[in-house]
Amino acid sequence: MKTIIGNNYYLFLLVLIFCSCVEPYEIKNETFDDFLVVEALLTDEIKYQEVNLSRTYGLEEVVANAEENATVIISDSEGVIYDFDEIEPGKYTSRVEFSAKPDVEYRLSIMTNSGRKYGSRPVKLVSEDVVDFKLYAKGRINDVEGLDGVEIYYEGLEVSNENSSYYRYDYVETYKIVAPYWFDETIDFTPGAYPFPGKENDDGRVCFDTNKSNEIILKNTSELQVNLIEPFVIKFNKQINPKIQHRYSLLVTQHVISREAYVYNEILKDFSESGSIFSENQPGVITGNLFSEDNPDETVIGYFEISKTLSKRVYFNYTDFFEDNAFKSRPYFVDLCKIFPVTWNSSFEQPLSLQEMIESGFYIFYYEPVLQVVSPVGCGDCSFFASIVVPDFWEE
Amino acid sequence: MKTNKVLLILFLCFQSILAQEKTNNISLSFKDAKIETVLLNVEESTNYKFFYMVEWLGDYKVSGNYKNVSIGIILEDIFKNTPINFYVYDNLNVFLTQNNIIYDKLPDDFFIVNKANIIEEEGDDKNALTPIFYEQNTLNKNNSEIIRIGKENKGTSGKSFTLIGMVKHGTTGDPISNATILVKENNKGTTTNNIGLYEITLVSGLNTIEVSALGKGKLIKTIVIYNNGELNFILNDDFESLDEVVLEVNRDRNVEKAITGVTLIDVAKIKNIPLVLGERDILRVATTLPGITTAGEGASGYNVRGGKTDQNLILLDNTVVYNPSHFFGIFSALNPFTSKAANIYKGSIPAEYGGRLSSVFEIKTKDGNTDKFSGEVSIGAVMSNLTLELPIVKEKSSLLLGGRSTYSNWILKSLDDESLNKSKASFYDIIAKYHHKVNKNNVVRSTVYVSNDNFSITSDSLYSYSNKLVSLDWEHRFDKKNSINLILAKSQYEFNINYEDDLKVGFDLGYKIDETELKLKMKYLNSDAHKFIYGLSSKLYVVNPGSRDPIGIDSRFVGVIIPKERGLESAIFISDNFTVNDKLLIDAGFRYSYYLSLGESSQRVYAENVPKGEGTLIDNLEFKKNEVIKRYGGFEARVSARYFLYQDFSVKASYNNNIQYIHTLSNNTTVSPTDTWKLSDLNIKPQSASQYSLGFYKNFKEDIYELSIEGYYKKLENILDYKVGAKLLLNEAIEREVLQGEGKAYGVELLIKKNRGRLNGWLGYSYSRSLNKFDSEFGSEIINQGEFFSSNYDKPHDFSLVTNYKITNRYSVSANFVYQTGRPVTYPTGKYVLNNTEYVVYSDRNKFRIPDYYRLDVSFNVEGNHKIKKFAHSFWNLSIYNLLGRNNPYSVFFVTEDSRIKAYKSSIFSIPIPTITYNFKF
Repeated sequence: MKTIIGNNYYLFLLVLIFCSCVEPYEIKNETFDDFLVVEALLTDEIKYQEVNLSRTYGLEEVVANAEENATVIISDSEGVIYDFDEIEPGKYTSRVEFSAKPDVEYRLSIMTNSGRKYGSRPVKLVSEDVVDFKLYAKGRINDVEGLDGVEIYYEGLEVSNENSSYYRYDYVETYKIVAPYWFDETIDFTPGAYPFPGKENDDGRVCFDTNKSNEIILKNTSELQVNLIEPFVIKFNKQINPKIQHRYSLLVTQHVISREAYVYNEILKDFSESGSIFSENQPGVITGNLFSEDNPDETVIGYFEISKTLSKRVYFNYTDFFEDNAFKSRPYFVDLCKIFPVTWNSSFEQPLSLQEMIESGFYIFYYEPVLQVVSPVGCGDCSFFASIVVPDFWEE
Repeated sequence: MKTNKVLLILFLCFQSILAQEKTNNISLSFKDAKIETVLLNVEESTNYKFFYMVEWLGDYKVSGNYKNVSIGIILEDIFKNTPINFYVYDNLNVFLTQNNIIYDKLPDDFFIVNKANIIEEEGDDKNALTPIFYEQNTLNKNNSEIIRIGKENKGTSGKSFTLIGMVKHGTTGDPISNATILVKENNKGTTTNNIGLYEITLVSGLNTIEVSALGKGKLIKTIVIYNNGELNFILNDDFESLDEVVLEVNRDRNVEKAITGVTLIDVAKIKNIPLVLGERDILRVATTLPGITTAGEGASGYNVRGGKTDQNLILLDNTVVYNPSHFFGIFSALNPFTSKAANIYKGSIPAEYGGRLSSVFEIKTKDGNTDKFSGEVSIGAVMSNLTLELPIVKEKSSLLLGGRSTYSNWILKSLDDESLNKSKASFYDIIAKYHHKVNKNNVVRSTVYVSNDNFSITSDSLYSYSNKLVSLDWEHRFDKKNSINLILAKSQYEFNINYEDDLKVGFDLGYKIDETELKLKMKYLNSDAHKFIYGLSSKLYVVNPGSRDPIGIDSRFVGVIIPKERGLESAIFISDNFTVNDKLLIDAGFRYSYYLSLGESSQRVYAENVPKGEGTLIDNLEFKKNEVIKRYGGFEARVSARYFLYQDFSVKASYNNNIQYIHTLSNNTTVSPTDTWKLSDLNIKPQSASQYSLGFYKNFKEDIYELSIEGYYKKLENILDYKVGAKLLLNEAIEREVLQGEGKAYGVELLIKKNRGRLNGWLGYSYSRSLNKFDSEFGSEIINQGEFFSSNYDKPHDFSLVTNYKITNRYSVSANFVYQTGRPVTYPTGKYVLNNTEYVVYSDRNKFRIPDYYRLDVSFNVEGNHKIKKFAHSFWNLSIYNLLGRNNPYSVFFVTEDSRIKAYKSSIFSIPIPTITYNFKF
């Protein structure tokens, strides 16, 4: 028995030393610094350029407050001024479509509703050429599980003209959703409505959803012999990810940015990744290229970025990589799709009548070959959480 | 016995020997003869009879050639160099006496003197012929034998004589340095130097001398001094009684020494202090003293007087220990069982040391027992220790071996839990010291030390780090005044992180620093007033900043090799311990240090006066092997002075400046062994500091209480801090991530100690600040608007109470209480969203503080019984660390998980931890 006590004691010691010493900590928001946050990207594409303004918010709060009613302009070194209009709270777009031109310096100026003025240092498009690239999907094979997901590769196709180039990538994923228990008949409780009328259209059977990337993807060629980015996985989705169960599309935008903007993004990226035990980055406010014109010590968060952009899109189907098994059993956005037979009227086992169940909004009608319902509703109608509009670009 | 006066000196109303010259002249010739032989010869050829004890004569050999001279002349000559006096009685009988002169008449004031001890003030020559008396009951009280020094000459009374000698260890015979020699009668004293020698001026006549040394017994001797003489003392280890003084600065040492801010920790005495997991720890004891702190539990490294952890020169037998900790700093890597004493210089640093700004931790290993095989075993909850002392050549040389190790690996393996039995946690340290006393003038010492840590925090990573040290010290005495130490020291520190996950993706990362130093140190004891230490040293650094080798074919990490760095740091130094007068002592030292950054190397050149970055890189210079890349150097002054305001009250002031050519790179204070050292080069300048300090020192009640108060102000230049988001590990262009700025630190330190008695211990408090400033015309180089801000280790209030209460001679209880202001942190103050991701807004750097730190530890100590003949002497320690169960966080950090910010705090010991330790000596 003695050794057991010894072991347990030791276990306890080691646990003390290695594991249980890290525990969640309640951050008390003792002082809250209210700063302006600027998200501004000017590209060489002709479009309505966009600037987003918000405020920092408390650690306990959930949503950022938009900076409303600000005056936003971008002025260039040729004397042209582009006015911006607020189209949504905090979202400002240029009144006219325009693009950043080479060798022209641009400045961002903001005056908030409270009258405080902010500006940016001038930015200019980099001299590097935009290099062409391609995207392709490839199944990933894992030692343990075998084929476990799909990787989308980026592959640069041209060598840049400069010594080193700095790239930031973002992507937008769009995917098709098929509700597994969509049923083409609807139920009508008015007497005599039987047999049930068919649905007028397919709405709710097929939907689309779009997500913007929330990771910072950076590559540079400064340490490479050849100014060409080596192929890399820009996005990976596991087989069990509901997003790839039917058809999936990824739009990758490549931004050629300045070294300063790259460094800013790099620090930001390090902060967003969980601190490892091996190294911690020095925390602090990252100095960007924005400043307050009233008080040089005031912190302004964000970076006025200017980039040469190029976007490409790639598609793939689930069946391109995986067996075409019954799609009803595939992972879906709604976790537990339950389907069960019901009776028309309520009973001891079924406290609600069928009509009451459908009208509660939690159940959706289904038939195969007895009366059934599906819960939750999203399992039979994807329009509850996604759009039924087919995107303009979508190719089947 | 009420007889007040016992005349130990024989008073015989004989006639003066001076009146005896008229008769019996002798002719005699002898060469290299024993005195006894000569006396027998005289007896044979004349009528003289000698009365003496044979032992008195010793083995003195004498030579002489006399023709028709009086016996007085012959005897004068042959006894000249002995403590023997003689008296010729009645031209026939010669009485020899040891030390005493036989007076042939009573002094004039004999019958009116009733003060027993009539030692007169120095310089009073009127009573030159007053014989020396002392009281019988003085003897009884001290119960010690009387030692007579020198031969009494007529007219010596009232004068001062010099007594020199050595204090040695009873069993090993080794000299004991820093032993205190105190004259009870006038409370004057001295200490032995590092080879155990002392020199003290005594007033002629009776002196009660108390000799004590840390961890050794106390010796009281009654000495009657008649002339300059030599007396050696032998002290034995003090293990027969419970140590009452946990930490002792030599008696009077704090008041007397010239230098400020020095602390001596006697390792043998720290065993009663409750410590983490029952392990004795020299450096942890140091942190209970004002001015020395750590960033927190689990943080290795010490912050001394507002300095960074890389500014301490930690020397184990003259060799630098780069990482003196095990398990991320929970335990110190210095074996407390083999260490003798630790001297910590946080104020004025002796001129012989340099290269670090804040402090010197001078740790000395014991010399092994040259007499008999002995050892010590300690069995604790976490580790066990074995120390052996093996005499090699009796009385001359000995090997000391010490080893400590954990048993955690073995226990982890035996566990059923799969995740735990795959993990590793082990460390050990081994020390071997050989010392050989070749002869009276030559001693050779050599130390080899290895420490190693190995552990995995996650099942797929393995950390390891190790220190390797070798040193050789040859000490040679030319004569009584001149000695030399030739020291060769080599230290190596390396760490390795091996990471391998299931997907065969991993890396192997290694870092190594290696330094080799050759030092020549000379001592010249010019006179009582001047004692010089001078010499030169040179140190070669070789740093392999690391490589990251990908493991497995699929490793996503690219191999990186950061090129080697080399540097040569040299210095010349001289210092004089100058006793200006009884009250004023000046310790003045100067050091000139010189640093060469050496090739081969490729150095980046940046445009001037703009932030260093890829964009401002203008050139890449290539340097060949041993080609000088950059030179740095400067004068360093180390001056301090002590002035006695009263006999036991002194004031001290000091100024010193330092240059440091090496920097650590670690931007988190939760120091992990990934701290790397970087040499100064073309882009990184050496850091420097200057410190002013002033202190008052007072002892009360015969040194039972010591009180000291010290203030300091320190200015630092070119200290390193990091830009926001700096990445330091395996970054070749480190100069782009760091900033060099100024710093200042100031504080007041109060220490009250009770050295003796049943209740003893100390109370230390310091108020101190440590601030840095980084200002520039470029935004990316400004921290906190270019204002002074708290450094990572700025802890204004630091309070420690260490107490030990002796219940009986065998049982004692101890308690520690520590309170510290929480250390500064950079806190998230809000959040923001940029490109769909939530980020944290951080406050100004180090604007906030983690909760204050406090902790109470208690321990109960049982000393084995005190039978002297017992084979082993045992000691039990039962301690509870963090009795109050205070959850002291040492770090608060934030991570973004699933696009949300989460805060975590890490603490090491959040509940009371009981441990039991057993050790025995044999």
